[in-house]
Amino acid sequence: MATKYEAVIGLEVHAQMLTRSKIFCGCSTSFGSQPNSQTCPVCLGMPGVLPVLNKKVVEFAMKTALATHCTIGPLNQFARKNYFYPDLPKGYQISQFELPLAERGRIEIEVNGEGKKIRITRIHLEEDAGKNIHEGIEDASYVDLNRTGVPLMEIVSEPDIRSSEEAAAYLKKLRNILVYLEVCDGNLEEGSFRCDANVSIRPAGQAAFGTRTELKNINSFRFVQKAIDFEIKRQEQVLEEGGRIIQETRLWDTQKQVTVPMRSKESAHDYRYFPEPDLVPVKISSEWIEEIRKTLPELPEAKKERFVLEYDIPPYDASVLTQSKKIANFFEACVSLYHQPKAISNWIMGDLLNEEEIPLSPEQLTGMIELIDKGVISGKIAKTVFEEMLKTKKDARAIVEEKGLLQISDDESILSLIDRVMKESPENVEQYRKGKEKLFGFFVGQVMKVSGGKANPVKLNELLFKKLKTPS
Amino acid sequence: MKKLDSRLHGNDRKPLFQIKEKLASQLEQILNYVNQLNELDTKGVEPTSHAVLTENVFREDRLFPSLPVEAALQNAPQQEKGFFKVPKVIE
Ligand SMILES: [Zn+2]
Repeated sequence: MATKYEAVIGLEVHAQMLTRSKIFCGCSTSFGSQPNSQTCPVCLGMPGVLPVLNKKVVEFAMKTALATHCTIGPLNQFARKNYFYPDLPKGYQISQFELPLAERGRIEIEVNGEGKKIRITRIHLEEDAGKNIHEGIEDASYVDLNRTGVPLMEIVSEPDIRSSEEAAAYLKKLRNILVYLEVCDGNLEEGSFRCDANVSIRPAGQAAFGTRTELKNINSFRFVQKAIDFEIKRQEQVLEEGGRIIQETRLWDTQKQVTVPMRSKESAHDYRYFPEPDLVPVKISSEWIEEIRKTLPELPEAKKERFVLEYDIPPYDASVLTQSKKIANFFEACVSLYHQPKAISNWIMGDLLNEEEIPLSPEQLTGMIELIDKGVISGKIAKTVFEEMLKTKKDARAIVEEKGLLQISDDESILSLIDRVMKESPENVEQYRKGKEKLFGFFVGQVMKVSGGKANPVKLNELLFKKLKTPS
Repeated sequence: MKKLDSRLHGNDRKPLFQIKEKLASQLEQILNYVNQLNELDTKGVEPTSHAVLTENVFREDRLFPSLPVEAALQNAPQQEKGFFKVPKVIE
């Protein structure tokens, strides 16, 4: 019988902070500018320059630390992490080593309805490196140093994660918190939220960890899950065949859907960390921490609980709606215009969750829901109106009037439709009257059809029943 | 040692053994001096990482003009299309 294995996963997230300027100089952090147009003597690593710490970077990291229940260190120090690579002009990266900004926090996740705490080891500050470009260049590489010195937070989890689903849940939760705090835009594609995963497996029940590999280069939640799943399977296969796992860095190959070992000898680094003499220590007083705590916005957990209490919507709805700050704000804007929280929630969850940008205004959505509630349009027609609103950006009422989509609710019109249908199928009428009551549904469907979906279903049922019961 | 011998020959005309003896005693003095530090009780003394005793030096999150691309690339041994050009690095 094959051994059953358990995966042990720890995640390292590099989050780019939403400051305007870099961590140690006044160069812009904006993405996509002309190569090497956002550099200065400090971030180019010219001799004799002095880095000066951007205060906002510290505050953003403090907010993150508080939101993830970390303990903020009273004394922070920067350290030089030495290695040689063309994207690192100084030959060292300014980071934090012995005295990081914060330690020992946690994030609560939920997978398949079960809650779990994932501990956070530490949060520290560091500068980003530049970008090397290899593709399409013969016998050389290009270097763009715009990103050099962009402020990053490295958030390291304990190896508490046991599956790729938990890993994805942790990352989504963390990203959500950062976006709520407005300290990171959470954009995986542009690299402002990057994830490395340490993955190992061990026979179920064994306490000691197995040898781990580090997965790099995963830039979407979907890839994180796929890369981890692949790596777990790969390690299981190696062990089953009597081999052993080599500690190494592996890259996720999106095209081939496999992890491959990194070719450079990256793994056995001695970074020779030592305190950065050019930056003075940062002391963080409890007063400063309290000041920052006061600026914390309502976080996803709290918002979820409030939505349940205040709007009386199911916890499931609340948790879905609060998974994005944008959606949560949109929901609240709608509710303040028209107080039908559950109906609004249904429409948002059904049709708006996967949109990058919410494609309509709260006024448009609530205007439409109001038309349904007042019986002006049917739920079925509302779908058409909704699609049309997205296309034309017009209000629901304007669309209904233009397209003649008003629900038919007056008795006279509905009765005439019923008459028409009954005349068209006299044998069915007879059958029904003889007791084949199942045919009722057939009539409803036919009348709906001739009305173009506009007949008021409640009225229709009522009138149809009466009409069929009274012999002509 | 061979390297040192040849260097000493080039710069100094004194007999080699004299120079070695002089250097040996100087080195010993230095080592003794450093060894004195071991006599000090440093328990409870924080390691010194900075010569100046200041803390919390910050800048506000404001933009400052960056260098023109030409200036940024000026010291580069090789440049191309606005990039620093370096020997091929493989990831
Ligand atoms: Zn700069």
